[in-house]
Amino acid sequence: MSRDELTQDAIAELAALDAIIAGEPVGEEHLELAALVDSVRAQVPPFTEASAQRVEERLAHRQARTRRLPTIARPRLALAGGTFVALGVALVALLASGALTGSPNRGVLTPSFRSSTTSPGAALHGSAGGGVAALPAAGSGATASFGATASPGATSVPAPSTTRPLPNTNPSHRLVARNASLTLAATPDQFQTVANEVVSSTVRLGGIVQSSNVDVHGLSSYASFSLSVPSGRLPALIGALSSLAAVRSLDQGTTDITDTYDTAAARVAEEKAERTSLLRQLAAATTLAQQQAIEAKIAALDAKLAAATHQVGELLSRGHNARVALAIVATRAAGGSGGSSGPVNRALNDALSVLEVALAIALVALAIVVPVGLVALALWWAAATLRQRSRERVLAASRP
Amino acid sequence: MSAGLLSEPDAKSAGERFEALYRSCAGDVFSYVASLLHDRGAAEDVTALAFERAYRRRALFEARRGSERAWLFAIARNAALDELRRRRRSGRLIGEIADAPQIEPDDALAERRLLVREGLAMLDARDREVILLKFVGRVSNGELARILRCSETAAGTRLHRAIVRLREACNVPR
Repeated sequence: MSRDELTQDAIAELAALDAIIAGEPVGEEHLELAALVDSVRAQVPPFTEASAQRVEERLAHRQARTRRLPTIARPRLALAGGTFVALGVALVALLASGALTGSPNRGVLTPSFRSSTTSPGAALHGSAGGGVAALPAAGSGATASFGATASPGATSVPAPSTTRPLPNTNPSHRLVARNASLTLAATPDQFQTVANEVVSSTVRLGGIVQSSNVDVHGLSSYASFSLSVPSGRLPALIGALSSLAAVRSLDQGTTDITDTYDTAAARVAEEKAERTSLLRQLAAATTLAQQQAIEAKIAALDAKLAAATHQVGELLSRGHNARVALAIVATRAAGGSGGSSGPVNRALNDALSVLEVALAIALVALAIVVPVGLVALALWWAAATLRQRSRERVLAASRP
Repeated sequence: MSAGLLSEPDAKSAGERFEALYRSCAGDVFSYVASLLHDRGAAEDVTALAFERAYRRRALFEARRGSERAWLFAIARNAALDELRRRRRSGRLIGEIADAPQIEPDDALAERRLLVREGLAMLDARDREVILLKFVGRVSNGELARILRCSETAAGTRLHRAIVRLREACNVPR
Protein backbone atom coordinates (compact mmCIF):
# COMPACT_ATOMS: atom_id res chain seq x y z
CA MET A 1 0.00 0.00 0.00
CA SER A 2 1.41 3.39 -0.90
CA ARG A 3 1.68 6.10 1.73
CA ASP A 4 -1.20 8.01 0.17
CA GLU A 5 -3.60 5.10 0.04
CA LEU A 6 -6.36 4.95 2.60
CA THR A 7 -7.88 1.91 4.29
CA GLN A 8 -11.58 1.21 3.94
CA ASP A 9 -12.10 2.33 7.54
CA ALA A 10 -10.33 5.59 6.86
CA ILE A 11 -12.39 6.17 3.73
CA ALA A 12 -15.57 5.48 5.68
CA GLU A 13 -14.48 7.84 8.42
CA LEU A 14 -13.71 10.63 5.95
CA ALA A 15 -17.13 10.11 4.37
CA ALA A 16 -18.69 10.34 7.81
CA LEU A 17 -16.68 13.49 8.46
CA ASP A 18 -18.13 15.08 5.32
CA ALA A 19 -21.61 14.15 6.53
CA ILE A 20 -20.93 15.65 9.98
CA ILE A 21 -19.64 18.86 8.45
CA ALA A 22 -22.68 19.03 6.19
CA GLY A 23 -24.91 18.61 9.26
CA GLU A 24 -26.23 15.22 8.19
CA PRO A 25 -26.89 12.39 10.65
CA VAL A 26 -24.20 9.73 11.04
CA GLY A 27 -24.06 6.26 12.55
CA GLU A 28 -23.30 5.58 16.18
CA GLU A 29 -19.76 4.54 15.36
CA HIS A 30 -19.00 8.07 14.19
CA LEU A 31 -20.50 9.97 17.11
CA GLU A 32 -17.07 10.31 18.66
CA LEU A 33 -15.85 11.96 15.46
CA ALA A 34 -18.82 14.32 15.56
CA ALA A 35 -17.91 15.24 19.14
CA LEU A 36 -14.31 15.81 18.06
CA VAL A 37 -15.42 18.15 15.28
CA ASP A 38 -17.63 20.01 17.73
CA SER A 39 -14.78 20.31 20.23
CA VAL A 40 -12.35 21.63 17.62
CA ARG A 41 -14.87 24.17 16.42
CA ALA A 42 -15.32 25.28 20.00
CA GLN A 43 -11.58 26.04 20.19
CA VAL A 44 -11.46 28.55 17.40
CA PRO A 45 -11.74 32.20 18.31
CA PRO A 46 -15.33 33.38 17.91
CA PHE A 47 -16.25 36.08 15.43
CA THR A 48 -17.62 38.58 17.88
CA GLU A 49 -19.80 41.53 17.00
CA ALA A 50 -16.90 43.84 17.70
CA SER A 51 -14.61 41.86 15.40
CA ALA A 52 -17.28 41.77 12.70
CA GLN A 53 -17.68 45.52 12.92
CA ARG A 54 -13.94 46.10 12.68
CA VAL A 55 -13.61 43.70 9.74
CA GLU A 56 -16.42 45.46 7.91
CA GLU A 57 -14.88 48.85 8.61
CA ARG A 58 -11.52 47.68 7.31
CA LEU A 59 -13.15 46.05 4.32
CA ALA A 60 -15.05 49.23 3.53
CA HIS A 61 -11.82 51.19 3.84
CA ARG A 62 -9.99 48.75 1.58
CA GLN A 63 -12.81 48.73 -0.96
CA ALA A 64 -12.81 52.51 -1.04
CA ARG A 65 -9.13 52.35 -1.93
CA THR A 66 -9.71 49.55 -4.40
CA ARG A 67 -12.36 51.53 -6.26
CA ARG A 68 -9.74 54.13 -7.06
CA LEU A 69 -7.49 51.50 -8.58
CA PRO A 70 -9.41 50.99 -11.78
CA THR A 71 -9.38 54.68 -12.59
CA ILE A 72 -5.71 55.25 -11.77
CA ALA A 73 -3.53 52.22 -11.83
CA ARG A 74 -5.27 49.80 -14.12
CA PRO A 75 -5.86 52.03 -17.16
CA ARG A 76 -2.25 53.14 -16.95
CA LEU A 77 -1.13 49.56 -16.93
CA ALA A 78 -3.47 48.76 -19.79
CA LEU A 79 -2.22 51.79 -21.71
CA ALA A 80 1.37 50.80 -21.12
CA GLY A 81 0.61 47.24 -22.14
CA GLY A 82 -1.19 48.42 -25.26
CA THR A 83 1.72 50.65 -26.15
CA PHE A 84 4.16 47.78 -25.77
CA VAL A 85 1.96 45.55 -27.90
CA ALA A 86 1.62 48.25 -30.56
CA LEU A 87 5.38 48.82 -30.56
CA GLY A 88 5.97 45.11 -30.82
CA VAL A 89 3.60 44.73 -33.73
CA ALA A 90 5.15 47.73 -35.49
CA LEU A 91 8.63 46.29 -34.98
CA VAL A 92 7.53 42.93 -36.28
CA ALA A 93 5.90 44.53 -39.31
CA LEU A 94 9.09 46.46 -39.99
CA LEU A 95 11.18 43.33 -39.67
CA ALA A 96 8.82 41.40 -41.89
CA SER A 97 8.85 44.09 -44.54
CA GLY A 98 12.64 44.17 -44.52
CA ALA A 99 12.78 47.91 -44.01
CA LEU A 100 15.26 47.54 -41.15
CA THR A 101 17.44 45.07 -42.99
CA GLY A 102 17.75 47.15 -46.10
CA SER A 103 16.28 44.62 -48.46
CA PRO A 104 13.19 46.04 -50.03
CA ASN A 105 12.23 42.90 -51.89
CA ARG A 106 12.78 40.27 -49.26
CA GLY A 107 9.22 39.08 -49.21
CA VAL A 108 9.13 35.63 -50.70
CA LEU A 109 5.38 35.58 -50.78
CA THR A 110 4.96 38.51 -53.11
CA PRO A 111 6.01 38.53 -56.72
CA SER A 112 8.92 40.73 -57.62
CA PHE A 113 8.52 43.54 -60.09
CA ARG A 114 11.60 45.26 -61.35
CA SER A 115 12.21 47.82 -63.98
CA SER A 116 15.49 49.04 -65.31
CA THR A 117 16.62 51.56 -67.84
CA THR A 118 20.08 51.11 -69.28
CA SER A 119 20.20 54.16 -71.42
CA PRO A 120 22.63 56.71 -70.07
CA GLY A 121 20.93 60.01 -69.93
CA ALA A 122 18.17 58.97 -72.24
CA ALA A 123 14.76 60.13 -71.29
CA LEU A 124 12.41 57.20 -71.05
CA HIS A 125 9.51 58.55 -72.95
CA GLY A 126 6.09 57.12 -73.51
CA SER A 127 6.48 54.67 -70.68
CA ALA A 128 2.77 54.39 -70.11
CA GLY A 129 1.95 53.59 -73.67
CA GLY A 130 5.30 52.13 -74.44
CA GLY A 131 5.22 53.61 -77.89
CA VAL A 132 8.37 54.14 -79.90
CA ALA A 133 8.37 56.88 -82.39
CA ALA A 134 9.85 56.34 -85.76
CA LEU A 135 13.16 57.96 -86.47
CA PRO A 136 12.96 60.54 -89.13
CA ALA A 137 16.46 59.71 -90.26
CA ALA A 138 15.61 56.07 -90.71
CA GLY A 139 12.90 56.82 -93.18
CA SER A 140 9.29 56.76 -92.35
CA GLY A 141 8.48 54.09 -94.88
CA ALA A 142 10.54 51.50 -93.06
CA THR A 143 8.69 51.53 -89.77
CA ALA A 144 5.51 49.90 -90.99
CA SER A 145 7.26 46.80 -92.23
CA PHE A 146 8.60 45.83 -88.77
CA GLY A 147 5.27 45.22 -87.12
CA ALA A 148 4.96 41.46 -87.45
CA THR A 149 8.20 40.15 -88.70
CA ALA A 150 9.52 36.84 -87.48
CA SER A 151 13.15 37.49 -88.07
CA PRO A 152 15.16 40.66 -88.09
CA GLY A 153 16.99 39.39 -91.13
CA ALA A 154 13.79 39.25 -93.08
CA THR A 155 12.96 42.86 -92.60
CA SER A 156 13.14 45.34 -95.37
CA VAL A 157 15.94 47.77 -94.97
CA PRO A 158 15.09 51.43 -94.91
CA ALA A 159 16.66 53.55 -97.54
CA PRO A 160 19.06 55.82 -95.78
CA SER A 161 19.63 59.22 -97.05
CA THR A 162 22.90 60.00 -98.64
CA THR A 163 23.66 62.69 -96.14
CA ARG A 164 24.80 61.96 -92.59
CA PRO A 165 21.78 62.09 -90.28
CA LEU A 166 21.76 64.52 -87.44
CA PRO A 167 21.86 63.07 -83.91
CA ASN A 168 18.41 62.53 -82.36
CA THR A 169 18.16 65.12 -79.69
CA ASN A 170 14.40 65.25 -79.60
CA PRO A 171 13.35 62.91 -76.76
CA SER A 172 10.18 61.94 -78.58
CA HIS A 173 12.28 60.59 -81.43
CA ARG A 174 14.59 58.36 -79.44
CA LEU A 175 14.84 54.71 -80.32
CA VAL A 176 14.38 52.60 -77.24
CA ALA A 177 14.69 48.82 -77.06
CA ARG A 178 12.35 47.22 -74.57
CA ASN A 179 12.48 43.81 -73.04
CA ALA A 180 10.72 42.00 -70.26
CA SER A 181 11.15 38.79 -68.34
CA LEU A 182 8.08 37.25 -66.80
CA THR A 183 7.55 34.12 -64.71
CA LEU A 184 4.08 32.75 -64.16
CA ALA A 185 2.97 29.98 -61.81
CA ALA A 186 0.08 27.77 -62.84
CA THR A 187 -1.44 24.65 -61.37
CA PRO A 188 -0.81 21.43 -63.32
CA ASP A 189 -4.41 21.23 -64.49
CA GLN A 190 -4.27 24.79 -65.81
CA PHE A 191 -0.81 24.52 -67.25
CA GLN A 192 -1.64 23.61 -70.87
CA THR A 193 -4.48 26.13 -71.00
CA VAL A 194 -2.18 28.89 -69.80
CA ALA A 195 0.46 27.91 -72.35
CA ASN A 196 -2.11 28.03 -75.14
CA GLU A 197 -3.39 31.37 -73.93
CA VAL A 198 0.14 32.77 -74.05
CA VAL A 199 0.32 32.08 -77.79
CA SER A 200 -3.15 33.40 -78.57
CA SER A 201 -2.66 36.54 -76.46
CA THR A 202 0.63 37.28 -78.21
CA VAL A 203 -0.83 36.81 -81.70
CA ARG A 204 -3.91 38.82 -80.78
CA LEU A 205 -1.69 41.78 -79.90
CA GLY A 206 0.20 41.55 -83.20
CA GLY A 207 3.20 39.79 -81.75
CA ILE A 208 4.89 36.55 -82.64
CA VAL A 209 6.19 33.57 -80.73
CA GLN A 210 9.83 33.34 -81.72
CA SER A 211 10.40 30.12 -79.82
CA SER A 212 8.54 28.02 -77.33
CA ASN A 213 9.09 24.94 -75.23
CA VAL A 214 6.22 23.42 -73.27
CA ASP A 215 6.75 20.38 -71.08
CA VAL A 216 3.67 19.21 -69.15
CA HIS A 217 4.50 16.75 -66.35
CA GLY A 218 2.36 17.48 -63.32
CA LEU A 219 4.15 19.56 -60.75
CA SER A 220 7.40 19.43 -62.72
CA SER A 221 5.75 21.06 -65.74
CA TYR A 222 7.73 23.85 -67.30
CA ALA A 223 7.31 26.10 -70.29
CA SER A 224 9.39 28.84 -71.80
CA PHE A 225 8.54 31.29 -74.54
CA SER A 226 10.45 33.90 -76.42
CA LEU A 227 7.93 36.46 -77.59
CA SER A 228 8.17 39.55 -79.73
CA VAL A 229 5.49 42.21 -79.78
CA PRO A 230 5.32 45.76 -81.09
CA SER A 231 6.85 47.92 -78.40
CA GLY A 232 3.71 49.97 -77.97
CA ARG A 233 1.79 46.85 -77.07
CA LEU A 234 4.25 45.50 -74.53
CA PRO A 235 2.25 46.73 -71.50
CA ALA A 236 -0.90 45.20 -72.95
CA LEU A 237 0.86 41.90 -73.51
CA ILE A 238 2.26 41.88 -69.98
CA GLY A 239 -1.19 42.66 -68.65
CA ALA A 240 -2.71 39.87 -70.69
CA LEU A 241 -0.05 37.36 -69.64
CA SER A 242 -0.29 38.40 -65.98
CA SER A 243 -3.99 37.67 -65.97
CA LEU A 244 -3.39 34.09 -67.11
CA ALA A 245 -1.70 32.87 -63.93
CA ALA A 246 -0.03 34.05 -60.75
CA VAL A 247 2.94 36.28 -61.41
CA ARG A 248 6.06 35.04 -59.69
CA SER A 249 8.39 37.66 -61.07
CA LEU A 250 8.39 40.46 -63.59
CA ASP A 251 11.49 42.29 -64.81
CA GLN A 252 11.30 45.05 -67.38
CA GLY A 253 14.16 46.87 -68.98
CA THR A 254 14.67 49.59 -71.54
CA THR A 255 17.80 50.49 -73.49
CA ASP A 256 18.21 53.65 -75.50
CA ILE A 257 19.80 52.59 -78.80
CA THR A 258 19.38 55.89 -80.61
CA ASP A 259 23.09 56.69 -80.69
CA THR A 260 24.00 53.21 -81.88
CA TYR A 261 21.38 53.48 -84.58
CA ASP A 262 22.57 56.92 -85.64
CA THR A 263 26.14 55.68 -85.96
CA ALA A 264 25.10 52.66 -88.00
CA ALA A 265 22.81 54.72 -90.24
CA ALA A 266 25.58 57.26 -90.80
CA ARG A 267 27.94 54.50 -91.78
CA VAL A 268 25.42 53.16 -94.30
CA ALA A 269 24.99 56.66 -95.74
CA GLU A 270 28.74 57.14 -96.03
CA GLU A 271 29.24 53.79 -97.66
CA LYS A 272 26.43 54.46 -100.10
CA ALA A 273 27.94 57.81 -100.93
CA GLU A 274 31.29 56.12 -101.42
CA ARG A 275 29.66 53.51 -103.65
CA THR A 276 28.07 56.24 -105.77
CA SER A 277 31.43 57.88 -106.06
CA LEU A 278 33.02 54.59 -107.06
CA LEU A 279 30.32 54.04 -109.68
CA ARG A 280 31.11 57.46 -111.11
CA GLN A 281 34.81 56.59 -111.16
CA LEU A 282 33.97 53.30 -112.87
CA ALA A 283 32.07 55.10 -115.54
CA ALA A 284 35.00 57.38 -116.10
CA ALA A 285 37.61 54.61 -116.10
CA THR A 286 39.49 54.34 -119.39
CA THR A 287 41.53 51.16 -118.92
CA LEU A 288 40.52 47.64 -118.07
CA ALA A 289 42.86 47.60 -115.10
CA GLN A 290 41.23 50.73 -113.66
CA GLN A 291 37.78 49.22 -114.19
CA GLN A 292 38.75 45.96 -112.45
CA ALA A 293 40.30 47.79 -109.51
CA ILE A 294 37.21 49.93 -109.04
CA GLU A 295 34.88 46.92 -109.34
CA ALA A 296 36.88 45.12 -106.64
CA LYS A 297 36.50 48.15 -104.39
CA ILE A 298 32.76 48.26 -105.10
CA ALA A 299 32.41 44.55 -104.28
CA ALA A 300 34.23 45.01 -100.98
CA LEU A 301 32.15 48.06 -100.24
CA ASP A 302 28.93 46.18 -101.05
CA ALA A 303 29.80 43.56 -98.44
CA LYS A 304 30.41 46.23 -95.82
CA LEU A 305 27.26 48.05 -96.88
CA ALA A 306 25.18 44.90 -96.55
CA ALA A 307 26.52 44.31 -93.03
CA ALA A 308 25.88 47.92 -92.01
CA THR A 309 22.40 47.83 -93.51
CA HIS A 310 21.67 44.63 -91.65
CA GLN A 311 22.78 46.24 -88.39
CA VAL A 312 20.51 49.21 -89.00
CA GLY A 313 17.62 46.84 -89.63
CA GLU A 314 18.45 44.93 -86.50
CA LEU A 315 18.46 48.07 -84.42
CA LEU A 316 15.19 49.26 -85.85
CA SER A 317 13.67 45.89 -85.13
CA ARG A 318 14.85 46.09 -81.53
CA GLY A 319 13.40 49.56 -81.25
CA HIS A 320 10.05 48.67 -82.69
CA ASN A 321 9.58 45.20 -81.26
CA ALA A 322 9.85 44.39 -77.60
CA ARG A 323 11.17 41.00 -76.52
CA VAL A 324 9.52 39.06 -73.78
CA ALA A 325 11.11 36.03 -72.14
CA LEU A 326 8.31 34.13 -70.47
CA ALA A 327 8.58 31.12 -68.18
CA ILE A 328 5.71 29.17 -66.68
CA VAL A 329 6.29 26.95 -63.67
CA ALA A 330 3.90 24.55 -62.03
CA THR A 331 2.65 25.18 -58.53
CA ARG A 332 0.28 23.50 -56.09
CA ALA A 333 -1.51 26.66 -55.12
CA ALA A 334 -4.15 27.97 -57.40
CA GLY A 335 -2.84 31.08 -59.11
CA GLY A 336 -3.87 33.39 -61.87
CA SER A 337 -7.20 33.62 -63.50
CA GLY A 338 -6.60 31.07 -66.20
CA GLY A 339 -9.44 32.32 -68.25
CA SER A 340 -12.82 33.86 -67.90
CA SER A 341 -13.02 34.14 -64.07
CA GLY A 342 -10.04 36.48 -63.89
CA PRO A 343 -11.17 39.18 -61.44
CA VAL A 344 -12.55 36.69 -58.95
CA ASN A 345 -9.44 34.53 -58.96
CA ARG A 346 -7.23 37.59 -58.84
CA ALA A 347 -9.16 38.89 -55.86
CA LEU A 348 -8.82 35.49 -54.21
CA ASN A 349 -5.11 35.53 -54.91
CA ASP A 350 -4.80 39.00 -53.46
CA ALA A 351 -6.70 37.90 -50.37
CA LEU A 352 -4.51 34.84 -50.09
CA SER A 353 -1.39 36.98 -50.40
CA VAL A 354 -2.64 39.31 -47.68
CA LEU A 355 -3.37 36.33 -45.47
CA GLU A 356 0.05 34.89 -46.17
CA VAL A 357 1.73 38.17 -45.25
CA ALA A 358 -0.41 38.41 -42.12
CA LEU A 359 0.52 34.85 -41.25
CA ALA A 360 4.20 35.61 -41.79
CA ILE A 361 3.94 38.65 -39.51
CA ALA A 362 2.08 36.58 -36.94
CA LEU A 363 4.78 33.92 -37.09
CA VAL A 364 7.51 36.49 -36.55
CA ALA A 365 5.50 37.98 -33.69
CA LEU A 366 5.06 34.55 -32.19
CA ALA A 367 8.76 33.91 -32.52
CA ILE A 368 9.29 36.94 -30.29
CA VAL A 369 6.31 36.68 -28.00
CA VAL A 370 6.46 32.96 -27.25
CA PRO A 371 10.04 32.84 -25.89
CA VAL A 372 9.50 36.04 -23.90
CA GLY A 373 6.21 34.66 -22.61
CA LEU A 374 7.79 31.35 -21.68
CA VAL A 375 10.58 33.08 -19.79
CA ALA A 376 8.06 35.30 -18.00
CA LEU A 377 5.92 32.27 -17.22
CA ALA A 378 8.93 30.39 -15.85
CA LEU A 379 9.90 33.36 -13.70
CA TRP A 380 6.35 33.76 -12.45
CA TRP A 381 6.12 30.05 -11.68
CA ALA A 382 9.46 30.09 -9.87
CA ALA A 383 8.44 33.13 -7.84
CA ALA A 384 5.07 31.59 -6.98
CA THR A 385 6.69 28.31 -5.96
CA LEU A 386 9.27 30.05 -3.79
CA ARG A 387 6.58 32.17 -2.17
CA GLN A 388 4.43 29.14 -1.48
CA ARG A 389 7.37 27.20 -0.01
CA SER A 390 8.16 30.15 2.15
CA ARG A 391 4.56 30.18 3.37
CA GLU A 392 4.68 26.47 4.13
CA ARG A 393 7.92 26.94 6.06
CA VAL A 394 6.48 29.69 8.16
CA LEU A 395 3.43 27.54 8.85
CA ALA A 396 5.59 24.62 9.95
CA ALA A 397 7.54 26.92 12.23
CA SER A 398 4.49 28.54 13.77
CA ARG A 399 3.54 27.58 17.30
CA PRO A 400 0.02 26.73 18.40
CA MET B 1 -14.18 30.83 -17.76
CA SER B 2 -15.85 31.62 -14.49
CA ALA B 3 -19.29 31.01 -13.18
CA GLY B 4 -20.77 31.48 -9.77
CA LEU B 5 -21.72 33.99 -7.18
CA LEU B 6 -18.78 36.24 -7.81
CA SER B 7 -18.89 36.30 -11.57
CA GLU B 8 -22.03 38.34 -11.96
CA PRO B 9 -21.75 40.69 -14.91
CA ASP B 10 -24.05 43.17 -13.22
CA ALA B 11 -22.11 45.15 -10.63
CA LYS B 12 -25.13 45.44 -8.33
CA SER B 13 -25.79 41.70 -8.43
CA ALA B 14 -22.10 40.97 -7.91
CA GLY B 15 -22.12 43.26 -4.89
CA GLU B 16 -25.18 41.57 -3.43
CA ARG B 17 -23.74 38.11 -4.03
CA PHE B 18 -20.46 39.12 -2.54
CA GLU B 19 -22.24 40.39 0.53
CA ALA B 20 -24.05 37.05 0.82
CA LEU B 21 -20.72 35.26 0.60
CA TYR B 22 -19.35 37.53 3.28
CA ARG B 23 -22.31 36.84 5.59
CA SER B 24 -21.96 33.09 5.18
CA CYS B 25 -18.17 32.79 5.45
CA ALA B 26 -16.75 35.77 7.35
CA GLY B 27 -17.06 34.15 10.77
CA ASP B 28 -15.38 30.90 9.75
CA VAL B 29 -12.66 32.74 7.81
CA PHE B 30 -11.93 34.91 10.82
CA SER B 31 -11.84 31.91 13.17
CA TYR B 32 -9.51 30.00 10.87
CA VAL B 33 -7.19 32.97 10.37
CA ALA B 34 -7.21 33.81 14.07
CA SER B 35 -6.27 30.20 14.85
CA LEU B 36 -3.25 30.56 12.58
CA LEU B 37 -2.20 34.03 13.72
CA HIS B 38 -3.22 34.01 17.40
CA ASP B 39 -3.85 37.71 17.09
CA ARG B 40 -7.36 39.05 16.90
CA GLY B 41 -6.40 42.42 15.41
CA ALA B 42 -4.21 40.83 12.76
CA ALA B 43 -6.93 38.26 12.06
CA GLU B 44 -9.45 41.05 11.50
CA ASP B 45 -7.03 42.73 9.09
CA VAL B 46 -6.29 39.52 7.22
CA THR B 47 -9.99 38.63 7.02
CA ALA B 48 -10.76 42.02 5.49
CA LEU B 49 -7.80 41.66 3.16
CA ALA B 50 -8.96 38.20 2.06
CA PHE B 51 -12.41 39.44 1.18
CA GLU B 52 -11.00 42.43 -0.62
CA ARG B 53 -8.69 40.20 -2.68
CA ALA B 54 -11.53 37.85 -3.42
CA TYR B 55 -13.64 40.71 -4.71
CA ARG B 56 -10.83 42.13 -6.81
CA ARG B 57 -9.98 38.75 -8.27
CA ARG B 58 -13.54 37.54 -8.67
CA ALA B 59 -13.05 37.31 -12.44
CA LEU B 60 -10.42 34.61 -11.85
CA PHE B 61 -12.78 32.41 -9.89
CA GLU B 62 -13.55 29.14 -11.63
CA ALA B 63 -16.59 27.29 -10.35
CA ARG B 64 -15.43 23.97 -11.79
CA ARG B 65 -12.38 24.03 -9.53
CA GLY B 66 -14.30 24.28 -6.30
CA SER B 67 -16.73 26.34 -4.29
CA GLU B 68 -16.38 30.04 -3.58
CA ARG B 69 -15.99 29.17 0.07
CA ALA B 70 -12.95 26.99 -0.64
CA TRP B 71 -11.54 29.65 -2.96
CA LEU B 72 -12.00 32.24 -0.22
CA PHE B 73 -10.26 30.02 2.34
CA ALA B 74 -7.32 29.53 -0.05
CA ILE B 75 -6.98 33.32 -0.35
CA ALA B 76 -7.32 33.73 3.42
CA ARG B 77 -4.73 31.04 4.05
CA ASN B 78 -2.17 32.72 1.77
CA ALA B 79 -2.89 36.10 3.33
CA ALA B 80 -2.50 34.66 6.84
CA LEU B 81 0.76 32.92 5.98
CA ASP B 82 2.05 36.13 4.38
CA GLU B 83 1.19 37.91 7.62
CA LEU B 84 3.12 35.25 9.55
CA ARG B 85 6.11 35.72 7.25
CA ARG B 86 5.97 39.45 7.75
CA ARG B 87 5.85 39.04 11.50
CA ARG B 88 8.72 36.60 11.39
CA ARG B 89 10.84 39.03 9.41
CA SER B 90 10.04 41.92 11.69
CA GLY B 91 10.47 39.75 14.80
CA ARG B 92 7.07 40.66 16.21
CA LEU B 93 5.67 38.44 18.90
CA ILE B 94 2.52 36.60 18.21
CA GLY B 95 -0.24 37.80 20.44
CA GLU B 96 -2.75 35.76 22.33
CA ILE B 97 -6.40 35.57 21.69
CA ALA B 98 -7.74 37.56 24.60
CA ASP B 99 -11.24 36.26 24.40
CA ALA B 100 -10.57 32.59 23.75
CA PRO B 101 -13.51 30.41 24.76
CA GLN B 102 -13.60 29.97 28.50
CA ILE B 103 -13.66 26.41 29.79
CA GLU B 104 -15.56 25.46 32.92
CA PRO B 105 -13.56 22.63 34.56
CA ASP B 106 -16.59 20.98 36.13
CA ASP B 107 -18.37 20.47 32.89
CA ALA B 108 -17.69 17.10 31.14
CA LEU B 109 -18.08 18.69 27.77
CA ALA B 110 -15.80 21.47 28.80
CA GLU B 111 -13.24 18.99 30.02
CA ARG B 112 -13.32 17.28 26.69
CA ARG B 113 -12.86 20.59 24.91
CA LEU B 114 -9.93 21.35 27.15
CA LEU B 115 -8.38 18.05 26.16
CA VAL B 116 -8.94 18.85 22.51
CA ARG B 117 -7.38 22.27 22.97
CA GLU B 118 -4.31 20.70 24.49
CA GLY B 119 -4.30 18.04 21.81
CA LEU B 120 -4.45 20.68 19.07
CA ALA B 121 -1.60 22.54 20.70
CA MET B 122 0.53 19.41 20.63
CA LEU B 123 -0.10 18.78 16.96
CA ASP B 124 2.27 19.64 14.18
CA ALA B 125 1.29 22.97 12.60
CA ARG B 126 0.48 21.31 9.28
CA ASP B 127 -1.79 18.73 10.91
CA ARG B 128 -3.50 21.46 12.88
CA GLU B 129 -4.05 23.50 9.75
CA VAL B 130 -5.57 20.57 7.85
CA ILE B 131 -7.99 19.97 10.70
CA LEU B 132 -8.92 23.63 10.89
CA LEU B 133 -9.49 23.87 7.16
CA LYS B 134 -11.70 20.81 7.20
CA PHE B 135 -13.57 21.33 10.46
CA VAL B 136 -13.89 25.11 10.37
CA GLY B 137 -13.56 25.80 6.66
CA ARG B 138 -15.92 22.93 5.84
CA VAL B 139 -14.26 22.32 2.46
CA SER B 140 -14.45 19.07 0.54
CA ASN B 141 -11.40 16.86 0.22
CA GLY B 142 -10.99 17.97 -3.41
CA GLU B 143 -11.05 21.61 -2.35
CA LEU B 144 -8.69 20.84 0.51
CA ALA B 145 -6.31 19.31 -2.03
CA ARG B 146 -6.36 22.45 -4.14
CA ILE B 147 -5.76 24.67 -1.12
CA LEU B 148 -2.84 22.50 0.02
CA ARG B 149 -1.63 22.03 -3.56
CA CYS B 150 -1.59 18.26 -3.48
CA SER B 151 -3.66 15.41 -4.87
CA GLU B 152 -7.07 14.64 -3.42
CA THR B 153 -5.82 11.27 -2.18
CA ALA B 154 -2.86 12.91 -0.48
CA ALA B 155 -5.16 15.49 1.08
CA GLY B 156 -7.45 12.73 2.39
CA THR B 157 -4.49 10.85 3.79
CA ARG B 158 -3.11 13.96 5.46
CA LEU B 159 -6.49 14.73 6.93
CA HIS B 160 -7.04 11.24 8.26
CA ARG B 161 -3.58 11.06 9.79
CA ALA B 162 -4.09 14.44 11.40
CA ILE B 163 -7.35 13.21 12.96
CA VAL B 164 -5.62 10.07 14.22
CA ARG B 165 -2.83 12.17 15.77
CA LEU B 166 -5.34 14.52 17.34
CA ARG B 167 -7.12 11.57 18.92
CA GLU B 168 -3.80 10.27 20.20
CA ALA B 169 -2.92 13.70 21.56
CA CYS B 170 -6.28 13.87 23.31
CA ASN B 171 -6.08 10.26 24.53
CA VAL B 172 -9.36 9.57 22.84
CA PRO B 173 -9.81 5.88 22.00
CA ARG B 174 -10.98 5.08 18.52
